[in-house]
Formats: sequence, structure tokens, C-alpha cells
Amino acid sequence: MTFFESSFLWLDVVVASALSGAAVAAVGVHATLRRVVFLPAALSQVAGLGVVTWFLLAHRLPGFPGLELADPGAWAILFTALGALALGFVREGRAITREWLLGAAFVGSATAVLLIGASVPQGVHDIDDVLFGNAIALERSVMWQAVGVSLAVLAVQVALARPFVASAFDPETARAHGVPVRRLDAVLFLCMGAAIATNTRVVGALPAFAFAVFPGAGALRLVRDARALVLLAALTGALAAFLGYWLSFELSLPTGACMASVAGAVYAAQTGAEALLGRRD
Amino acid sequence: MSQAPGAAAPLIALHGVAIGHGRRRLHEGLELEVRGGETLALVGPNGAGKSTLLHTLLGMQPALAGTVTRRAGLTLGFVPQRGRHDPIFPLRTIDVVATGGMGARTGAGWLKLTAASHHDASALLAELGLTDQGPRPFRDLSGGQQRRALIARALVRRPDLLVLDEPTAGMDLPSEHDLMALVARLASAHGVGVIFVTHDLSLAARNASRIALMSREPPAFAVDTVEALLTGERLGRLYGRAMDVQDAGGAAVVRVAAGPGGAP
Repeated sequence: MTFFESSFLWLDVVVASALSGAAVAAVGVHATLRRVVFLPAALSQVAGLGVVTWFLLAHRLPGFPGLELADPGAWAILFTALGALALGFVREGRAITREWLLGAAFVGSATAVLLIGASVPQGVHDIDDVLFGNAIALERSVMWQAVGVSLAVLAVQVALARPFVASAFDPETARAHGVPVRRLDAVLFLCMGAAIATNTRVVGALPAFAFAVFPGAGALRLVRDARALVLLAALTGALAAFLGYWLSFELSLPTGACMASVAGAVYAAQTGAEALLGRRD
Repeated sequence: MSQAPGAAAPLIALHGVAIGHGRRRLHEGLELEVRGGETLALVGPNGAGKSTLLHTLLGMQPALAGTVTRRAGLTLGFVPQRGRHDPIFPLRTIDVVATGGMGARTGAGWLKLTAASHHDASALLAELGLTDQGPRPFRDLSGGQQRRALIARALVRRPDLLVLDEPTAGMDLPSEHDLMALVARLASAHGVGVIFVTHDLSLAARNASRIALMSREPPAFAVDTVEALLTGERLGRLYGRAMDVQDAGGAAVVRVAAGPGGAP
């Protein structure tokens, strides 16, 4: 059976992967511009913390408010969105840099996931299945959740691309001119958290990080307009997800690694294209 | 209280204002009014509180006491210090200028996110001698060109009050002259109020209609005409060094005096 003949097997997961990959790539433009590319990596660990917290509460405090209202995946999105807000707004001090905070969030969340995961009956492997999926099969409800969240994130990213970039380019002037910089930042970081948590659940932490790092940086090499940056990055993210899945099917290689490889290869091609075309400025 | 001449209502007024950070007050009891058509230079040594006052005037930082009154519907245009823009941003110059339209005077917070048109941005770039630079990335412009593009960004909002933070720092003399001539034209022909921060006392003397002198040790704030404030005695107290103020063809030239208490 060829790849396309077996589409009934992979259509859901590829649609969810491509859309959530596009959403992560769109927010990745801003992570690159704001020089916080390790924020998505830290957030993927915070997503895990949301999942294990759900399992821990379900095990120890079954009547805890919110457990029945939302599944572990939704808790992952909530934790990641809150983590993105906290990490996005925290100010650097003399002794603490933003990079240090991102590293601390990564290590702290990863450690908590392992420790809590070992103390709940489901164990770390079950939690990993909820958190990372397996990129082969996807529950229909998870697919629709991913589609809904990703489309919402993409819509916000396209609509507010220019204000997001303008407020990051010169926040002092933007604030002086009355642009609601902190509210824009809050929306951006919420989008970042939601996109990372969703994409991590569909394809895993490695490709989610790759989508956050490569497409945005590639777009920055080729286009100058804020909205064009977001659109090119999103298209690249979706393409990398689809081609990565196809390569994985054809070559029987790990899906996440194939997606990350394609994202990296497209970035290399964009870098080459910039060099070949020369500076168009 | 120091008032600018003219009967028009002030664009912005400070009454009994304290400025500072958190509980730490840098200055108290500040009185200042700025009207359309006047040019106020804000000068003082490093650490005097000029940036804190500027941020308070711009509404980016709350006054710790007193009242800051802005005329209803006041539109501010701000030009920051140079060298604060990360070259990772690939934005074209015309797009940078157009972002000045964001935060315009109408609409609620969420609705004030529309950039100015490229037509308006191009017209201002041409007026500032950057006719062909619109499509170029902002990061590729020279320091002087970047400065003029940032002024175009502030002007595209059609401001009533233009605030410039060290506008001529790093500029060569002709560029400095052209820039200050533009500022003077905005004030005289268009009635725009101008506040600019500078360390160059001679520049302030040549281009300001009034000067606000600030010092931190001891805390002092005085606003008056150039002639009244720029005296060797007053500047000597402000900077803790002997200062000379000389008349060079009608323009004041300020420098650290040679000899004891002055230049080493």
C-alpha cells in the first residue's frame, strides 16, 4: 500500500501535525526576534508538568475542581500558557538572565515530571503517551482540539503580526505612543503556550522545538514584512510536518526526527537561497 | 511655576509632581508647562533624572505625587535614543515609519493597532531626505539616516508634542544642523511643542526657547529662558566644575573652563 493509498490511516494526524506545526512556526518568528528560542523548549517541559499534575490530582484528590472539566491535554495547554506568561514577562536582574530562567524552568519542570510521574499509578510512559502522542494514531477529539487551537493561534498571529513585531522592535516608543505593549505581549505568550502544548501533544517535543526554531529563522532570511514573515514561517512549518511524516512512512524512520530534519533542511535551503539571490536590499 | 509665553492652554503640565522609582524619589514638587510652538531643552548631568522625567511626561511611568495633565486628545510623538534597535529585525524603513501610526489618538486600546499608510510614510521620508531609503532595511541605514527615519515615524502620527531623547547624539555637524532646523520649523510653522533631552548645552542654547536644568546632588529643577539659566555660575553649581558661557556671534557656547576648578 502506497503512502497516499493509506491516507485513511494518517490523515487525522497529518492534518493536526501540519496545522499545529504551522502555529508553532508562526509564534517561532517572535521567539527568534525576541531572542528567546529556548522558551519553546522550556514550555514543552511545562506542558508535561500540567499532564502529571492532572494525573497526580486524579490519583490523590479525585474530587479536585477542574479534573472532570478538562482532560490532561487541556491542563497541559493551561500550564503552558501560564508558564509562557510568567517566563515572557519576568524581568532580567543583575544576577539572573532570561536564559537562566528558561534553563531553570526546563530543568525544574522535567525533574517534576519524572518525580511525580514515578509516584502515580499511570507512570511516566502513560504520561508520555498523553503528552507526546505517538505521531502514528491520534484520537479524533485530540485532532479536533489541535485543529481548533492551531487555527485560533494562526488567526491571531496573522491579524496582529505587525503590532507584535512593532512592539518588540521598539517597546519604549510603542509604549510612549500608546500601543498596549503588555497586552500584546500577553496575547503573544498565551498563543506561544497554546501552540507549543498542542503541537507537543501531537508530534512530540523534538519536532515542536524544531518548528519553533527553523521556519521563523528561515523566513527572516527571505522576507521583510511582519505578516509575510508569519505566513512564510507557517507554510514552512506545515510543509515540514507533512514531508516529515511522508519521509517517515517511506523510509521507516522515527517520525519526529524526520519532521525536525525536514525543518532543518528547509532552513538550509532558505539560507542558500538568500546567498544565491544576494541581498535584495 | 515656569510658564511658557502665550495664552494657549498647555499641551502638558506638571503640578507638584514627584518622580522616581518605587519609593525612591529623585525629585519632588516639579512644576512645568509646555505649550504648542515652544521648544524646551531638558539638560543636566548623568543621573540627574532626565529619563525618569521624560518617561513620566510620556505616561510610561506614574508620577509618585502631584498631577500630570495632558490636553484632551493630545498626540505624542517620541524619538528614542539611537542604537536601541536590534539588527535581527529585517523591517524595511518604510514599515518602521508606518508603525508610528499605531496608538493614534482615536479608538480603544485594542483598536489602536493600525499602521500609517505607506503614502504618508513615503512623504515624510522624502521630507527628511530619505526619498529612496523606504525599501531598504532599517538596520542597513547609517546612524544619521536611522535617526531621521525615527523622526519620520514620530511625525507620521501628526503629533501635538514631539519628544526627542538625545536627538543629535553621534551626528555630524551638518546633520545636526539640518535636524534642529527641522525641529524649529515644526515648532514655528506647525505649532508643535518640542521637548528634547541633550547633554550638549551649546545645542540647547542655540535651539531651545526655554531650558529645564536638572541636577541630582543636590536635587534641583529650574525652568527658564536660555539667558537666565545658562550662566557660568549656575552651570558650575550644576556640574561641580567651573564652566564658561561665551557669546559667539549671538549663539551661546558652553564649555568647561580652563584652569582651577575647570578642565584638568
